[in-house]
Amino acid sequence: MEHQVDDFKLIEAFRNGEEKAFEEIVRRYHRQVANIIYLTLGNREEVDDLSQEVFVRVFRSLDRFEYDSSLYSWIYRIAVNLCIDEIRKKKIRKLIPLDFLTEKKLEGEKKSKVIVTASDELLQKEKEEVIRGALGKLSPLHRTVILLREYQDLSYGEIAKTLRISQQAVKSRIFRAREELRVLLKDYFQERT
Amino acid sequence: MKHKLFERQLSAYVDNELSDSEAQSVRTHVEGCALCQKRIQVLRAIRTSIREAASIVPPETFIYSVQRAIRRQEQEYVIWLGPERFARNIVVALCVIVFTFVLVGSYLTPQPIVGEDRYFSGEPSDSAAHAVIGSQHELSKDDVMIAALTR
Repeated sequence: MEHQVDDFKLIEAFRNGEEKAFEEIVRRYHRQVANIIYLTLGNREEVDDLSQEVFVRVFRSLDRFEYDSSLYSWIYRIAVNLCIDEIRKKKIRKLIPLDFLTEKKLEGEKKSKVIVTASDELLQKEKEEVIRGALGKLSPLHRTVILLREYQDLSYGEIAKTLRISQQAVKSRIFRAREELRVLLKDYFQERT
Repeated sequence: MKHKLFERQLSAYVDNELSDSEAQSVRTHVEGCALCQKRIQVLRAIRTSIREAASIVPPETFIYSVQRAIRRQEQEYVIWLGPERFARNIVVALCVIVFTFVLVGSYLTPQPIVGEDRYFSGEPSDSAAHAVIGSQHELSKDDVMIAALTR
């Protein structure tokens, strides 16, 4: 709540012509925005351009912000809508080349991990790839909702406001997205839990 | 409640999105259910992994690229503003010219003599009266008068 009040002060300052206020908003949220885009689209190449576009839109629309939601959920809405537009533009549902995420591949990974004593860093990178791959297999709607929950840590109410859907829909989409992820990552997590 | 029903609640349970009483009954079930305990572990592991997968750290100079993009768009807007204004003025001027022509044209065009005018100007033509009323039957002088007055 304190953070929110602070954000609102920044908006006021921006409206009063203080350029530094916008810079602070960008600094505060650019990392989250970049990662939301990255995990939603599944590739790094477009992250910079789209993150930039998000903040250009924030700059253009901040005068019309109505204080009916938190600033971050408003910014995430812009980011999510931009990603969904991008997905529609490309007319693809499965965004990441995920051949490595087939059952056989996961099985192969498990076996190779037993044999190969890779460094922790390499294992971590592999794990990240597997997770991003699994996220890429979700439908854009499920992917968005699970990212807002798991990465951005938004409550169901905040997600509902961000995506303009009911809390019940949020609850049900999160449940289904997790079920899909659990099945996709079943072998991977059985090994580690 | 059966195990399956509790299992469906686990997602909202790990998110702290259940009411106190719902959370309490799920907690009681989970304490005695190894499957649900395992499921919760997996859900939490997925959460941790997603956070770890968000590995992008934008450069500190990111703000400058945003500012450059804003300036670039503003310049493009200014460049387009000139031709746009010019085109708008052309359209307005054309509308004024067309409207003036229509107005002057309608004022200068001679009006045709209508039926009742021909009748009263001494043309003893039944066809003129017919034209006024649009009827084919024989017209009396009163008919023509009424027609002329009601036009």
